[in-house]
Amino acid sequence: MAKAKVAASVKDYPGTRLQAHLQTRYSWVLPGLTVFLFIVMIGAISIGSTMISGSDTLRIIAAKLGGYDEVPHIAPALVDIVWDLRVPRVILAATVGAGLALAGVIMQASVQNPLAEPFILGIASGASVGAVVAILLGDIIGVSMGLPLWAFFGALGATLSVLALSGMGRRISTVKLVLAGAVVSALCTALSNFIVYMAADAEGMQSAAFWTMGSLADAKWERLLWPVSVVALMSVYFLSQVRILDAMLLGEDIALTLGINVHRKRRWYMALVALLTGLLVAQCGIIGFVGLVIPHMARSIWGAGHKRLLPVVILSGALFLVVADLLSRILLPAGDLPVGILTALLGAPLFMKLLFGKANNFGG
Amino acid sequence: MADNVKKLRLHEIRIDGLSYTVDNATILHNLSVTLPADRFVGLIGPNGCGKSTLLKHLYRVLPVQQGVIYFDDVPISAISLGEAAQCIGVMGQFHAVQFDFTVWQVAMMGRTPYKKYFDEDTEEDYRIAAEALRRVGMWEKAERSFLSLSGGEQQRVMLARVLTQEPTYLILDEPTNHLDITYQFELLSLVKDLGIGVIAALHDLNLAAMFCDEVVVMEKGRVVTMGPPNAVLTENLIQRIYGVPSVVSRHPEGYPMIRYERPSHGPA
Repeated sequence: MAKAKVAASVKDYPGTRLQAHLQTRYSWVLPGLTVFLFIVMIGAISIGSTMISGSDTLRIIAAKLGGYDEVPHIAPALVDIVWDLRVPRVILAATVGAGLALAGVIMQASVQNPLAEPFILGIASGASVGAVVAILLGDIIGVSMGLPLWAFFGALGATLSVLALSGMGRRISTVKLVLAGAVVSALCTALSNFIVYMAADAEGMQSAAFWTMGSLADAKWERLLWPVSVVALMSVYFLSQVRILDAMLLGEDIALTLGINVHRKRRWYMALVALLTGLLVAQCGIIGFVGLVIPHMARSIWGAGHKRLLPVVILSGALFLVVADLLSRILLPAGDLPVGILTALLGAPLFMKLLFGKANNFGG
Repeated sequence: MADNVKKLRLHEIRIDGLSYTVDNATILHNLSVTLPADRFVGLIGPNGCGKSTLLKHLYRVLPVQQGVIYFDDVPISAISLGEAAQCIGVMGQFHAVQFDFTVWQVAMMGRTPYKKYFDEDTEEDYRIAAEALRRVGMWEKAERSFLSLSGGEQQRVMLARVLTQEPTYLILDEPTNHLDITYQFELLSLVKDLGIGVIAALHDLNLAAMFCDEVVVMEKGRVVTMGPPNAVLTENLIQRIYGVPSVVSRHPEGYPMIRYERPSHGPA
């Protein structure tokens, strides 16, 4: 109802036909993407070393959601594979993908630079330092140390370092930002690898490969609560900030004269991104480039306006990582490939194009 | 909705002992002046005299280090950015940012100060933005990408964005710098026709003479003098401030016209 009214009113103003056109084109995008994401998730649950038919997958999920433990005509082992292993993994993949893509878009608006991304700027590596420190300390003292909280502190520390190194002046230059990110990232990666190396048998300490290349293989139902709820809450929150994000892209001075306290907003957004990144990295290691690839592709189709961009970015981020994780499971017959390898193979060329290409902007 | 917003309508801006120092260089020296805010006020002076710095204090990009600025007896620090944005429109020297908005989207951003969280754009917002784009003559290009426009066109879209804010007071921070004379005229006439209070930093003295009701002259971070163009823009003042000899005559419509003369070199 509301949507139809908007579209009709836009048409009243000749010259904004594009707006109207986009509006109609856009109206099916979100439902379409949502349905597509659902189908892909069902597919990703069905495919694997043990193949299950899509209808069986749906029946298992329906039965479990209905409170039944057994599904007629389906072996209990299959039910367990689907419900205990694959469903949580696919949900985690969707959540992490959505969260990382969201983190990228928010950072890009905050520092007004299309290259900002949690991995490229070393925020994810900072989170990994916090996480391994938490595990190491936990192993020494014998109590669990609040892994996500430490990862958040690590991410926050890295964020502050990058902003301080890149000058945080009026406008941060791309070169300075990327270099600062490279420095912080190298330092944090070395630090976390050092801790992993020194504490090789600490309880719960993942391998260096886990932290630097990421993996969704550890997904469990009981560990989904935090990532899912934080990503959902942040998505809703940032959807309420779309006008401010738009204004930020026009530059600091203009945003200020539009009544936005840019400095405070930017600090707040960067802290939220650090929290989000910390939580996701603590959960599944560093999965790079999602926050670069997805916003860039979405922008080239839908333009820079965040009202349209954000929902599309969140859904496509989820879609992207579900597919990437599926590939990482099935590409090698021997077992899992760290999913971060795949996202880097896709993301690094785009990074190169953005950094050296002419199209170094918020368009496409 | 715009109708419910209680708009501040400024009468005067009082600046009291404003000083600004950056990197050991003092840009504004204990500057005190009362500016009428219901007329077209021009701010002139040589490069580096502090025009832009003064305006940046008015639109809050620079923090007040020392001194007080009052908008109608209310200290600037007591006015929220949101409140200010609903009555003060600012057109600055903007840097070409890397973004790909349409002209329409940029114009619509002027409604930002009136929106909270999940507010949708209303019919009224569209009407205001469309009106603003028509006014600056960019209506036909509403669908175009902002980045594809020429510098002058981008400047006009930025003005449309400011007009969409429905300001009751306008600050122009050397907006005509990169524009050719046609656009400078267009922009200033358009602003003049709005009939609202304006303060504009201007380089061209003839433009200042033509459009301003009041001219404020700055030199080395201080206000030297102010008054109507006819009283202020004299041969003496121009010689003293800019070091350029000139002949000032009077246009039939009453405003001063300045012709510069080549300074004489060497022994006479």
